[in-house]
Amino acid sequence: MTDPKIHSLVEDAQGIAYGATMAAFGILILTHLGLITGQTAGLAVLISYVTGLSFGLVFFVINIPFYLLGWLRMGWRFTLKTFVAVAALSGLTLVMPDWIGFASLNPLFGAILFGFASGSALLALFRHGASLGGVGILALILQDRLGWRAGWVQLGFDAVLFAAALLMLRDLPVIAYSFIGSLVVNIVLAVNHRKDRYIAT
Amino acid sequence: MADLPHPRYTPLEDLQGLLVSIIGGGFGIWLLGTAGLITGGTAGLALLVSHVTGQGFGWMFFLVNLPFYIFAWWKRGMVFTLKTFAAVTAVSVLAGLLPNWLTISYIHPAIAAVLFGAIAGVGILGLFRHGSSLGGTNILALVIQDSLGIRAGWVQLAWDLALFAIAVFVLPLPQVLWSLLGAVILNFVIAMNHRRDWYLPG
Repeated sequence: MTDPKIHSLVEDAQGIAYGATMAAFGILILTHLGLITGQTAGLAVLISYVTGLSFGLVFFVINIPFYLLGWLRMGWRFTLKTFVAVAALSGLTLVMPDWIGFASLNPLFGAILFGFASGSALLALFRHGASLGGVGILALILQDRLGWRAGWVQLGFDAVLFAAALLMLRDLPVIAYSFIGSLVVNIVLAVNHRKDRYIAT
Repeated sequence: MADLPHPRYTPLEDLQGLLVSIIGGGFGIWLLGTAGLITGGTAGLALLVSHVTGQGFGWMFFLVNLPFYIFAWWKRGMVFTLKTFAAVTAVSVLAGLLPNWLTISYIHPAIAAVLFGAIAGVGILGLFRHGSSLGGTNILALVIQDSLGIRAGWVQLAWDLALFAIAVFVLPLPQVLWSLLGAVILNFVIAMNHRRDWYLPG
């Protein structure tokens, strides 16, 4: 609290709570439409579609190995915040379907809404020194070390994941709508995740 | 703000900020409508009037905001007023269009309130940061923050409490209480995050 540019515990808590809640809502939309996305979450969604396991469980388990990388490269504070965000997201996706259900959802609008929800969720998590694990950690390390924008790094990973999804799901409209959703996520990140603008840490 | 040595938004950056915020605002208000909740601000007034008269929210929101543009132009200038007019109009139109794209089979008022507070709160935050607002009380709150230094979030909370006092006599009590939760979250998001020392451009 001595330096007003360093987030307090409450300020971090509300940022991470927002990130986890919005990301969970994004996953609710995504899985309702049967779409996929990029990053670690996209990998978890794809695995959950193929195996029939719940997204929350798969996502939580996939992220476990990445915490070591996070701890080594980004420190314990970042790793702990990321663990909290991943655990909260995993838990929320399990209970959220009990609270809200869609009768109809236009896939184009759903994809855009997903992009807005997830993009702003990741932005809040990044700004509060957290992430949603795996590829997010890798993207943050690359942005800090090499100056590559996190949004563009994630776009590269997404391209590979989408190619795999196209081969496995063989459903072009699903891939097209998924692509639009991921595009919105990554545009929101690429335009807004700038340390020269949002200067609090 | 003009003397800050930081880059200003490009028109494209402003456009994405306004678009994201409009989707957030429009979707947040739509959540309230489906769960039978209200909120504060001019949106709350429009929802309350629309609830009592049976008129659609979109038009109500558009009309309620008209008188405030004069105040906005006088205190905040043409660019802010035009951006606000654009945001209010777009949210009004979006609120009218949303039922074509999205319908709910069930929703718990608690999740509607929480999601609304978070989504619309960040939506309004985005509008503020891109030199816009959602009209009426937003303008009033921003003017008071800039001239008296009172956080915009707290100003809006005071307006909302007055509006909710009226709602108690018009709406069922549980709806009013869940609505209150949503409004508190929304204003908490703005009070905690709308800080010129954290976020530089604009």
